[in-house]
Amino acid sequence: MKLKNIFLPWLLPVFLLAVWQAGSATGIFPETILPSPVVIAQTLWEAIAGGEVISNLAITLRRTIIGLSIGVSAGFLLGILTATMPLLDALLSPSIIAFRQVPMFAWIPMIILVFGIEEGSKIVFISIGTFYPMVINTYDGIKTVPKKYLEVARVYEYTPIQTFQKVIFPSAFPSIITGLRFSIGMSWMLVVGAEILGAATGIGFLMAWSRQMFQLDRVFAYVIVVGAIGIIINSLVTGVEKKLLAWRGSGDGGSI
Amino acid sequence: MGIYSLEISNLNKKFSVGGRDLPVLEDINLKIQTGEFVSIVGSSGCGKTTLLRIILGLETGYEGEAVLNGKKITGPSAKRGVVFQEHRLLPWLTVEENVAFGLINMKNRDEKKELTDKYMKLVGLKGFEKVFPSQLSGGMAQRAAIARALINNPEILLLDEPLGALDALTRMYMQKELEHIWEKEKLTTIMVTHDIEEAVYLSDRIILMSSRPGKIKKIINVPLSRPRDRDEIYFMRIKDDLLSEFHLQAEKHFFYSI
Amino acid sequence: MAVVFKNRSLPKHYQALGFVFPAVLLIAWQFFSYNKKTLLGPPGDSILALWNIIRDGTALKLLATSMERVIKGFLIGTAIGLSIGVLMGSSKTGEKMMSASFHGLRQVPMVAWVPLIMMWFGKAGMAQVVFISWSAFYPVALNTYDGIRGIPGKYLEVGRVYEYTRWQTVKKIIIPAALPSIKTGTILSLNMAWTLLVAAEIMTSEPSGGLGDLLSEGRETFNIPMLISGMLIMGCVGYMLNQAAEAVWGFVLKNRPDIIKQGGA
Repeated sequence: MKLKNIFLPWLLPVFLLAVWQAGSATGIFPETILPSPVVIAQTLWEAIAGGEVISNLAITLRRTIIGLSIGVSAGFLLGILTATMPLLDALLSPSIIAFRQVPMFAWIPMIILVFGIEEGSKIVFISIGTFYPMVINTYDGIKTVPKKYLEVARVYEYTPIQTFQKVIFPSAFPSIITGLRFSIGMSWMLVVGAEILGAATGIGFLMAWSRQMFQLDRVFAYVIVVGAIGIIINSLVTGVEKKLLAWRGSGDGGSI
Repeated sequence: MGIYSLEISNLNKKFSVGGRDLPVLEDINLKIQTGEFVSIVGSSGCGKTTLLRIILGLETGYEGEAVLNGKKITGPSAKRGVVFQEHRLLPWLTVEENVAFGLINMKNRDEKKELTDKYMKLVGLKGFEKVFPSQLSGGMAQRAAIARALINNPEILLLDEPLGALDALTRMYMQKELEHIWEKEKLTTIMVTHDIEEAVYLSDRIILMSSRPGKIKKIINVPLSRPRDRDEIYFMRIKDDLLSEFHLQAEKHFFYSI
Repeated sequence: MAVVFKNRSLPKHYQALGFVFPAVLLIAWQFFSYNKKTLLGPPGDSILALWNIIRDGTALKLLATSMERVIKGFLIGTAIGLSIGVLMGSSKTGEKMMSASFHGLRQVPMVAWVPLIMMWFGKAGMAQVVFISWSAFYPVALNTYDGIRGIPGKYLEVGRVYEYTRWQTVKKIIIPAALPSIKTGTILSLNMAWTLLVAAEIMTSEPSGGLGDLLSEGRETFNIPMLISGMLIMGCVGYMLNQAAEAVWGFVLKNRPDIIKQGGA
């Protein structure tokens, strides 16, 4: 039973890899269409050892972090302001919703035209993309603070500031964290996409470039790198989220 | 007659539902003495919770007035302790922080800690300071809510079916605890409940309300000594009287609906 | 901060305030493009460009191509996603067998597959359809899977009491109970499909025949009015797609008030 549990998840990937390798070795899958797993592994190793992956990854991550910081802070602030000030809400929220209808990647050509192909355009693009999940979840979190908790604060005569600190913000916190998680997840996709579409450096650029050179083994190797970073980012975020939201517990007492 | 702590006079309250005014409370007149334990009993929809929320100050827009210790009630006050039917502990605060919720403006940390400890002990939650509400049982959560209501040394304690969500055994145990706390703190207490036995067990007076619109139908004194014995003949008689009032009312409704 | 604290909201007619910000934006745009010749051109240029491509039918032709891709890809992706989701959600062995591959592949951002898919299915719009199927697959699969795993045990027990077969349980209990999640999944999928279609269409080196061409051509020829027309069309169509999906679900679920209510919350 135990053994089966450990073994089963790996059955499918190992089987597929074996078929793939066998197909490549016997020439059923031509090298130009589907390089063999062994070749890809070699390429990946060379790309990492050669330093090109690391140096380009550093550039990509730098863009991600800067764009994410701008987008998330702007989204957070605007989310709080629109959710707590009805006038600002009426003024800005319809525009935020309208602009959001434009698919993210449709902004890229425009942004490249305005901000050039250098760092600026990538950072602006990531900022815009990460802004939305943050502003929407912050806003929703604050707007959906249960009335029963607000009443408790009113009974104890909390000032608006105290109510915000002790009730509204903590109550909206899980939603804000969800927004942050979406934004972080989004940022990785956005940066890779932006780099594929137009860049001279970065991991996405390497992918696009290798594709134009018909070096499929390299494209595959970079896909693996991008996926690995995705896994690392995801597990970091999930870990931190669990720590921060410990109070939610799993007991039924949580549903008041 | 002792000193009246709470006086409600000529109170009328309407809710507007779909543009039409629906009377919820009609002509409520009530005087409650300092230190008295009063229960409000009635079937659901009789406006008993609305009445309690008016005293609490959460419900506004009514005719008549409610005066507590000489001051007209216009809004909520930390000097009125409340326990809701659901415990309403804030899930992101520990039990200790929840109990101290009403002490936000107290600057002296030692004093705050001392008070919190005192009330945690009073409700028997010592040792659960750092626990989150989601980890508490229903009865324990309600104890924490009671401690939170008491910590500000309120002028009046308002209980809105505080034991309604608990199982029968925990409920009886908590009734004893409530009586114990009430005797110790000598607090004017108003409890809304639909459990008649609970009302007879705890109250000095029971206010019986009729439904649609909510009116005071009868006020019953419970002149039994404490602690009360549920199997004692007078206890049972009062309980039966109350129950028969209910059945009558229920039957009347039944005929109406035909 | 009034609303949150006192449950007071602005009167209905204040909603008109929503037009103030776009109006200011338009006026500023007009003002700056009037003073000096910029790439952007005045807003009138963009509106004219939009009108022109609508009038001569270009917009419709491009839109038809894009829509066909989205619908094909969405249907294929949803069908596969639904099957895999049900399989993983309702069978322990299925879950264990799939989970490593399923969650492993999910970590690669969708767009990173574009270069590979482009090389394999490069010609004739095939790449876009495959790519959209792939991006529509995950939201449906994930939500179906989560929805099924989240079904309260009490419902499944009712099925066991009445000795339902596995297939009867799937049909009568599992799928109806998971419908809210499936709804969420398909709507997310459609959003994803539309967003990534754009990415797929502008990532090709040659014209793709879809709406993405307005963007890539606009960028290459510095024709900003064309670019903006493209963005406007994409925004509107995306919005309508979303509304259409909600309407379809509303129709499908008209006998399930429990779900409609949930969806509104």
